[in-house]
Amino acid sequence: MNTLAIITKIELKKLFQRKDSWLMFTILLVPILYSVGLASNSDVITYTGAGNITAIGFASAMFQMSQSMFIFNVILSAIVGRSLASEIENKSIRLYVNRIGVRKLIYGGKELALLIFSVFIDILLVLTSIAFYYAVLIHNPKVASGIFYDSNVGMEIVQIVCNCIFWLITIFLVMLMATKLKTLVCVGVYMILYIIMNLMSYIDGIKYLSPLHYVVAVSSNSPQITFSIILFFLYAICVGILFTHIGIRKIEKMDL
Amino acid sequence: MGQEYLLQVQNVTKQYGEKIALNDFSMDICQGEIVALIGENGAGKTTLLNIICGYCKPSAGQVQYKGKNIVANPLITREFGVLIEPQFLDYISAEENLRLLSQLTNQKQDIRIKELLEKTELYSSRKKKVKEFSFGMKQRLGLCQCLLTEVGFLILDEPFVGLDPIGKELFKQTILDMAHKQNVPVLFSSHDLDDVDEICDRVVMISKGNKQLDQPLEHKQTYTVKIECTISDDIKRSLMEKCGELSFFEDKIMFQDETLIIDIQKILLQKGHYICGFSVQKNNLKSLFGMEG
Repeated sequence: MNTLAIITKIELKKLFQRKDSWLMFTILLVPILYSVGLASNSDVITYTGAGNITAIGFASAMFQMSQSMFIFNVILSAIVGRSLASEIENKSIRLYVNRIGVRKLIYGGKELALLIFSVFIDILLVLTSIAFYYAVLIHNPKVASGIFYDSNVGMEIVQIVCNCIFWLITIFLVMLMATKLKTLVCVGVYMILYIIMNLMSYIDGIKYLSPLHYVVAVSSNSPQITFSIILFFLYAICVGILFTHIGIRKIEKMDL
Repeated sequence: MGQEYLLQVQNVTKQYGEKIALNDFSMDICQGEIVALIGENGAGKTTLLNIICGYCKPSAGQVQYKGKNIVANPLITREFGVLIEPQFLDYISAEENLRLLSQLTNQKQDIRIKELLEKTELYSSRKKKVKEFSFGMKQRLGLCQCLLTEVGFLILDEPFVGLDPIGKELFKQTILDMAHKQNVPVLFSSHDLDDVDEICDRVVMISKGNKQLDQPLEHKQTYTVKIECTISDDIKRSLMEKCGELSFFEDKIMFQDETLIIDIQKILLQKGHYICGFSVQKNNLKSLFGMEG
C-alpha cells in the first residue's frame, strides 16, 4: 500500500473514532424526521411541491434541505478544522512528520480522507432518504408517488451531486484555512464566508465566483441549467486544485 | 584518521520575527555517541532539536544526516526516533496509538508493540485511552513510539522529566543500550546535570541561542581533593608559589593533583595551621560548572 493510501486509511479511522465526527451523522435525521412528519400529517412539516414526489426526488429534496440548514456546513467545517488545525496546534501532526517525511502526502492524505468521509455521508443520506421514503413516506399518497424515479431523475441526480460538490468545496476551503488558523477561527471565518458567498450569489457579475450560485441555479429549472452545471464542475475542479496546491505549499514551508 | 560524523549541524540560525532562537550554531555527532544539550529555559535547545528532526526549517545554515541535507531530503528523518513533547491521539488507547504508527511504516509489529509495552511497564494499561494517562506514563509511551521502528538516531527532549526513579532508570538504560550496544547516536536535552553526567559522553551548552561549550566529559575519571583550613592571604600566596594550580573557596583549598597533598600540608604546618577537614570527590558536571562548594 502506498504512503498516501496509508495516511488516508489512518485518517479515516481517526475520523470515525472521533466523537465530533459523529455529529455529521445527524444529517440523517433530516429525511427521517421529514418523512415521519409528512407520513403522520404533522402540522409542523408540510409539503408544497408540485405533484407527488418520487424516491430520488425525495432524496434530492433532502439534500437541498440539509444544505439550507447551514448547521451541517458548520459541523463539517469544524471536523475539517480539527483534522488539520488542531493537530498543528497540539503538534500531534508530528506523529506523521518523521515517519512520512513528505509533508504534501500528509496534507493530501488528510484531505482525501475528509473527501471520502463527506461522500460516505452523502451516500448514507441518499440511502436513508430512499429507505424512509419506502418505509414511512409511502404511507402518505398525497405526497409520495411510490415510484423510484420519473422523467426528472437526471436533474434530481445532478442536484444531489451539486450539493455534494458544495461540501467538497467546503473541505478544500477549510483545509486551506486550517494551515493558518485555529479550528474555532476556521469555523468562524467559514461562517462569514458562507454569508458572503450567499450574498454574492445574488449579485450579477460576481455571482459566478460563489459556489452557492451554482447550487441555487441547478435546483431552479432555469434555461441555462446545462451551462451552470458545466461551469460548476469546472469551478469545483479549479478550486480543488488551487486550494490544495496552496495548502500543500503552506504546510511544506511552515514550522510544525 | 578524522572522525566520521553522522549528524552535522552547520551554522544554523533560527529567527522568529525579531527574536533569534539559534545563532550560527554548529555541532557534530558521531556514531554511538551520547550528547547532552544543556542550557537555561529558552536557550534554544528544543529549537535545535526541532530543526534536526525536520519539524522546523532553519532560517540559515543546514543540518546534514549521513551527508544529506535534511531539508532537501526529508525522507531521511524516517530513521530518527524522536521524543519531543510526545504526541498521541488521546481518544484512542496506548496500544492503538502504537498500532497506528506501525501502519505508517506499513509493517505488522504486534510482537514489537507487546515487547515495548512490557519493557516500559505499560502492558497492563495498554487498553486505556491515552487521555487517562499520567505525564510519566505518556513519557513512557513516547519512548515506545520512538523505538517502534528501527532507529538510526535517537533524539530526546528532556526525557527524564516527570518520571519516577524506575522510569528514569529505564530511560537511561535504553539510551546507554542504544548507544553502546547498537551504536546509535543519542542527542538529548536536560536540565538535570546529574543525569547528564551519568550517561553522556559529551555535553553541549547553549545560552541565548549561542553555543557556549562543547566538550567531552573527560572529568568522569578525575577527582577533586578538598582541604579545609584557615586560609590567609599569606598562605594563599605561599601555596600558589609552590603548588601552582589550586583554587580557593571560603575556607577550602581545592586541587586535582593528589600528589600535592604532602606539599600543602608542609606549607600549612610551617605557617602554624592545621588541616580541619579533608575530602576527595569524584568530579562531575556540577563541579565543572562550579555549582558545588
